[in-house]
Amino acid sequence: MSTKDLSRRDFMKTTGVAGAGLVVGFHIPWIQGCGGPPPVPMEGGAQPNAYIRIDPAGFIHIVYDDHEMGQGSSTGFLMMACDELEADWSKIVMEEVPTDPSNWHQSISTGGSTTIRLGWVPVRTAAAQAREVLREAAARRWEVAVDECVAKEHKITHEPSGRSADYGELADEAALLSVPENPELKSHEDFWLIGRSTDRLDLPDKVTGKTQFGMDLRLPGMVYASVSRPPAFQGGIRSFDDTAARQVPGVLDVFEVEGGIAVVASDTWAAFKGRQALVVDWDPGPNADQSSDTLKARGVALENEPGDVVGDEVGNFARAFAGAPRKVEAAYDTHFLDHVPMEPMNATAWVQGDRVEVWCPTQGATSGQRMAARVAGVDRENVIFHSMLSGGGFGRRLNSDDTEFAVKVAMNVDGPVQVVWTREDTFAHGFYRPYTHQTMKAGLDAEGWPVAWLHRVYGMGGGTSTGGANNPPYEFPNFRCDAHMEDWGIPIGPWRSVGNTHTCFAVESFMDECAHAAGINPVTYRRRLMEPKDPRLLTCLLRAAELAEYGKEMGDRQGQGVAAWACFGGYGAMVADVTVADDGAVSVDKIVAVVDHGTIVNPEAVRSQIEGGIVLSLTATLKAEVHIANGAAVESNFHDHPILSMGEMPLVEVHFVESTERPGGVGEPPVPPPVPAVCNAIFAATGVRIRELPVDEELLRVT
Amino acid sequence: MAVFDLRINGEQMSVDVPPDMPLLWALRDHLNLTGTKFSCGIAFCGSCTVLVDGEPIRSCIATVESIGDREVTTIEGLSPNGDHPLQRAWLAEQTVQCGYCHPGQILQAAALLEENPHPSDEDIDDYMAGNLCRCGTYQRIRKAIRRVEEGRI
Repeated sequence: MSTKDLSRRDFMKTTGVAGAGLVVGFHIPWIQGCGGPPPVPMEGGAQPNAYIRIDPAGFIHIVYDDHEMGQGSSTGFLMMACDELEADWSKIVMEEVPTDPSNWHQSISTGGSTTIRLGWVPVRTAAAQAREVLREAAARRWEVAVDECVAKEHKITHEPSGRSADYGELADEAALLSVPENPELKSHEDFWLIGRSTDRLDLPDKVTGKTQFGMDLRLPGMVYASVSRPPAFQGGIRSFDDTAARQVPGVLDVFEVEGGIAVVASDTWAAFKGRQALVVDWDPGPNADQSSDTLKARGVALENEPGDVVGDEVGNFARAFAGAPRKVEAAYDTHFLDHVPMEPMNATAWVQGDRVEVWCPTQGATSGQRMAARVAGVDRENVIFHSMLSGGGFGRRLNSDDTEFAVKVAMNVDGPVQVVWTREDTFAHGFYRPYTHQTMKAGLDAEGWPVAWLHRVYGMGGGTSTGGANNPPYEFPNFRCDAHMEDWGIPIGPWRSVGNTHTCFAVESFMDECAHAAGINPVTYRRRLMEPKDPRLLTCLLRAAELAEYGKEMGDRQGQGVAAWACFGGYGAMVADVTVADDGAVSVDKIVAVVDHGTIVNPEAVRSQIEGGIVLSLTATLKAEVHIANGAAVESNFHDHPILSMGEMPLVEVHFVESTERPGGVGEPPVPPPVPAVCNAIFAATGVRIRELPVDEELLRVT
Repeated sequence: MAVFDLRINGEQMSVDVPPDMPLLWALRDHLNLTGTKFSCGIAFCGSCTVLVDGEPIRSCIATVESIGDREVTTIEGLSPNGDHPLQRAWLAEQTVQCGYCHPGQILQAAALLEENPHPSDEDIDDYMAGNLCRCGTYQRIRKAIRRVEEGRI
């Protein structure tokens, strides 16, 4: 019996049935955002949304609902279970994400760097429960005391007599026993797999081309489609002529769906060519005059207008600022960011009467299933939803517009159809990290220490813009974070680390500006303000400064910059070494990162996430963002939106703070600090302060 | 439409497609060789890299017609058992994250080492500059190439 087809109800039925083995269900809660509220069980209380099943052959199947998109957390999740269960790593089997999210006790959604940190206690508890009933089953079989039965190396051994039985042999007997509610969990010193770098299970097929990503799905009779959509976000279609498109060899059909014109063909190339041959009169919509300049002008106009307070105010900013002997003010701009996953958006759908089947590389299967049901007008349980592996997600695949268009097209096609977005489609119709204009104001006392701090965010979408601004890692006697949020009709969404990418840029750049205004070393300056607020981050900061030899002698137009930030349960400080050429080109030579992620489950995978987070961040800092003109995205492909390449990759050194705290998030925390660390280093090298991204090399050119 | 006889991974394969179809789509949609990836379509990212007589090309712009009787190697054909030294080195360094760009990265690296068995760091950076990775695995790609170059695999 394969676990992958088992629904929750099936699992309930199989528990205690001879031959099915031992099943332990458990519940993994979900929290949203950075430092958010404590875990809250969803509808249905703490009912299982994950399972460990030990089959009679001894294989241990683990069912849970998180999506692997390269972050490596699936291997880490299984390692936690294996260690606690004292199982053989080679017998652990990861099962697929359930295909009927409507029959699952929680929204299936992967984001917020949560897989390991939220799974930490529940999966080990379930594994310990399984271990304990296996011990009890063995004790009963041999009529000996449980205390004399030891779980180790995938079997239970009765030490005094030397008898032993494999987990598979005991599974059916263990299934008849009730699991202990609060089994004792192993202590850190007894871990043998947690904390040991372990090869990721998804990698072997990824180096041979065997891995099937969403776009690699091939079904008998499948056709392909491309959808032409209005370039402007609020635009529409006035009219179109498909005469030429229909003459392209391989084009099977052309029709309008809500929000676009679909070209269906016998292969992807014909669909693309047919789509290029369409003659369309687009309606530019109500925002045809909208541009990055109009957005910025709005942000600048609101710099001195108090906005809606975000989080808790401390003291009275306005009074303290007015009375401060020195004032520092600066504003920082960040533009939209596309996620740019290497696999463009795509999904495959097949509509047969009231039954819909979808194959989609997505972070959000529940949302995808809902979308498919809504578009097709069927009940959710009539939608079979296959979560395919993703060629990168970074938050983009939490939206279900890929499924939306696939189902819209499939409703007009007899058979399965794969809707492939071009790179240009993927850039033009993103759910971007929002544009922000951030105004920072600080009042310094006579010695240069900040007594008043204001962070004002102009942006869109609430926490997607402000995340992190209301909770900097520093203590200020008078603090206010406020925001002006406006809806520009541009789709926005969570981009790896969400608000923190740009709020950390403003806070950590401005902190550097204040330190320089005060004439105090930036590390010393941060240290005093961070000490009472965030000791874990301070440890990272001081160690990073030491390991990077912050303050060392450097050459002409070279400099070092530091930044520290905590989010999603992870803490990190980074020091960047840069060289700025006379023509203004910035080379990031080295980044030293000191991170505290609590207990590290799979060290090499964590290191890899940190290296990758830094690269993503450097692209946003140095290379490209998405600008707006005529109500549409300007950048369209890698020629005008370059991303960091091999030769631009700095040497990255990652150091862990040893910790036995529970694991923190890993995917998102390394993204924010490199931005201000590099900008502060550019200031050290050139005396030029970077207040808008990406870095404008013209500002750094020697004249 | 026209029939093209192609030599791919040591086998003779034929496709009936328009002459201007990029090799990428013949491989993916007609020959079910989906290890070669579509990402940018304008030869700016390297995800679609295959070898033609050992030279790396961007299959998203190279037409089927242009291939002629030259030998095409895709990731599926780099080694019969998937154990080419670069593939083993890639695993040893735990190089991959999402994995989407890596078939192209590995083939580009294979061509590099074929052409220049002992590249300098600069040689590696130059040769690999057109193969983009959004997950940011460059440091590990470099190490994996170095591992093969030094015979440590």
